[in-house]
Amino acid sequence: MDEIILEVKNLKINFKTNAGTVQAVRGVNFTIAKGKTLAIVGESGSGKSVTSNALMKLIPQPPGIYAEGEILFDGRDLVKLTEKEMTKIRGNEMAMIFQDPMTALNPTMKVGKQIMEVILKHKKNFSKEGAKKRAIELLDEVGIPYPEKRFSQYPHEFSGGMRQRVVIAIALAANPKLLIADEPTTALDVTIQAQIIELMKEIQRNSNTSIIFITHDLGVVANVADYVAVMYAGQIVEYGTANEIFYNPRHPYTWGLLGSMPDLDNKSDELLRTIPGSPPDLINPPKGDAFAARNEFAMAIDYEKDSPMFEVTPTHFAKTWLLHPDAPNVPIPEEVQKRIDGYLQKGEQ
Amino acid sequence: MANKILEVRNLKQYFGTVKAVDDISFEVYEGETLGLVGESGSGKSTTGRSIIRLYDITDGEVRFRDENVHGRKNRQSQMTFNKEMQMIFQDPYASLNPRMTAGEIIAEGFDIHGMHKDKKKRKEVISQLLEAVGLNREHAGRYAHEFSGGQRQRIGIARALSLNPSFIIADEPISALDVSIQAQVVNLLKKLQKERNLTFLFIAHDLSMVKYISDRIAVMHHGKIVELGDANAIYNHPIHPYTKSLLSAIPLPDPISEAKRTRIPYIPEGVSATQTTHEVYPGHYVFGTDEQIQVWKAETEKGRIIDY
Repeated sequence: MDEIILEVKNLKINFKTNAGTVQAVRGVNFTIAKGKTLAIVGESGSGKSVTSNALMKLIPQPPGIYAEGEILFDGRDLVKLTEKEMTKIRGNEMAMIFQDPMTALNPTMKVGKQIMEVILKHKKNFSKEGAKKRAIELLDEVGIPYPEKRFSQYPHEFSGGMRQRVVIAIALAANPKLLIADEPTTALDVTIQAQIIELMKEIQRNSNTSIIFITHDLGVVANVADYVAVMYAGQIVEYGTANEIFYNPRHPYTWGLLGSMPDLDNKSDELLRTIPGSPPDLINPPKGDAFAARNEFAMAIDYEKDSPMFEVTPTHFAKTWLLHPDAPNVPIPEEVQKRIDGYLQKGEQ
Repeated sequence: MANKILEVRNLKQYFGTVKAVDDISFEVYEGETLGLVGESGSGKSTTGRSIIRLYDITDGEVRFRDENVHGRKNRQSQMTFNKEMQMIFQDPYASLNPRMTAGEIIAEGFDIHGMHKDKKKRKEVISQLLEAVGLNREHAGRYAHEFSGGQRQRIGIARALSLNPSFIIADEPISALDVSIQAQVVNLLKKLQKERNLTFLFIAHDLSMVKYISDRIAVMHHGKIVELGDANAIYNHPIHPYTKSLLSAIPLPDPISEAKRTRIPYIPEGVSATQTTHEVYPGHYVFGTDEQIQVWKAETEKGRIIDY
C-alpha cells in the first residue's frame, strides 16, 4: 500500500461575484501517494486550477470561500490553518510551479537570489554562503549550464524554457514533499516541453516527490500520470490509473476529450469528434448531471438527479448514470475505440 | 494539378539585425491547406504577416494570382487584393474590438468596401455569416465580452469570410482554445473550405492539428523552411533532423507509447552558404548541403516502407 501524503475530502470552493456565487469546485475527492503523479485534466472553467490553488491556500478570501471539505496534508487540515501557519508549509513542504515563468519570477531580482530567498526562509540551518552554494547546485540540477554565471543573471536574460527551469529550482529549494504544477509546459514550445517533463520525472525518481500535474493536454497526461482525474464543471467526473483512463474510458466527457484530439495515423477526411455546446454556468449549475446538456447519451435521469461515482474497478471510478446496473449498455464510441485498439496493437509489437 | 494561387519567392523579412524570415520560397495551390509549423521565433507568423502585407518586406516577392502583392498599387487593386486575402488571428480576445458588436465587427469589411449598402440586405448578410460559422442571428447585437473564446474565434472567422475571400491566412487560430473547442473550430474550417473552395495557409506550432488539417506541411526553423512536403510524408518519413526532433516531442494520448518515448534532440549543424533546397522526392523539399541531404536521405530510407 502506498503512503498517502495528501487527501482531499469533499472540497467546495465558491467565489462571490456581483452576478452571484460561482460554485467553482463542487465536492472534489482525491488522494495522492508518495512518489506518484496525479494529473488533473479539464478545460478552462472546469475548476482544475482553483483546486490546485486551494491546496496551497492561494484562494483570495474574499471573494473566495472554502465552503466545505478538508485538505489533509501530513495529518493537518490545511483549510483550518491560519495564514501564518500556512507560510511555513507553502514553498517548504509543498511548492508550486506556475504556467508562465515570466510572471512567476521577480524581474528586478537576480535568479540566484530568488532561489536563496526560499532556502534562507525555510531552512534555518543554512548560512548565506551555504544557501548560495545550494542555489548554484539547484541550478545545475535543473539542467542550467554555467550555473555560477547564471546565478547572477536576471530573468530576462533567460529563454522561456530556461526560466521555467529556474522556477522549478525555486520550487525544489526546500525539498518539498508535494509539487503542484499548474500547466507548467503550456507556454513552452513542444521540444522544450518535452525537456521540462523529463526533468520533472527525473526529480521525482531522485527524491520521491509527489506531483500534482494540472494540464489540458491529454498527450502530456499520458506521459506523466500514474493516476488521472478528469474534471468537468467543478467536479471530478472520472478517476483512474492512466491506463484505465486512456484504454477504458467510461465517462462520455472523457470520450469527447479523447475524440477531439486528431489521430495522427488516420485519414484526415473524417471530421473530429467534438463535444457540442459549452460548459454550464456555475452560478446556477444545472439540475441533475452537469454534463447532461452536452451528452449525446444522456438519459431522462441525467436531467433530474446528479450521478454518483460508480466503481469500474477498485482504482477506476466514473460519475455517469450509464454505469448504473439498469442503464442500457452504451459502448465506447466507435472512432474512440478504434483509436484505442490501434494504440494497444502498436503497444504489443 | 491545381492552379498556383500564391507564390512566395526568396522572401526576406529582417527587423534590424534579426533575420525573422530568411530567404524562403514556396507555393500554395488553389483549394489546398498548407500548414506552416515551427516553434516560437521560427518566423512562421512573420511569414504570414509579410504575405498579407502587414509588413513591408525586406526582399523577395510575393505573387498572388500572378500579381505582385508588394508592388506599387493603386487603391483599386489594393482593395481587390484585400477582398481576396483575409486573416484569422490567434487571440480571439485581442483581435475583436470590445466596443463593437459582433454584427459591426463582421460588417466592417464590407462597409469599407461599400458593399451591401441596403440596410435589409446588410443585416441579412451578417445573419448568413453568423449562421455559416455556427452562431445565430441574435448574436449580432452582442459585444465580444459576451462570448466564450470559441464563439469569439467564430466571429473572427465570420469577419474573415465577410468579403468572400479565396485565400485565408489562419495564424494559430486554435492555440488559445480548449481541446474540445479546437476540434469544433477545425471542423468548421474544413467545412467552410469545402463549401467555399477556400485556400488556407494554416500557421501553428501544434504539429498534430497541422497534420490533421493540412494537405502539405512546411516546417520552419530560424527563418528558413527546412522541409516541405505532403503531410503524410512529413509525418511518416521526415528527412530533416529538425523535423524528426519536432515529431519525436509530440506527446500522444497513449500511455504505453509514452512510456517508451525517446525524444530525438536536434543538434544544429550550423548554416552554411552551400545549403540549398533540394527536391529529395517529387514534391518533398529539404534544406541542406549536398552531403547532408545524402546522409539524411539514407537514414530515412532505412525506415521507409512506401515508395513514391
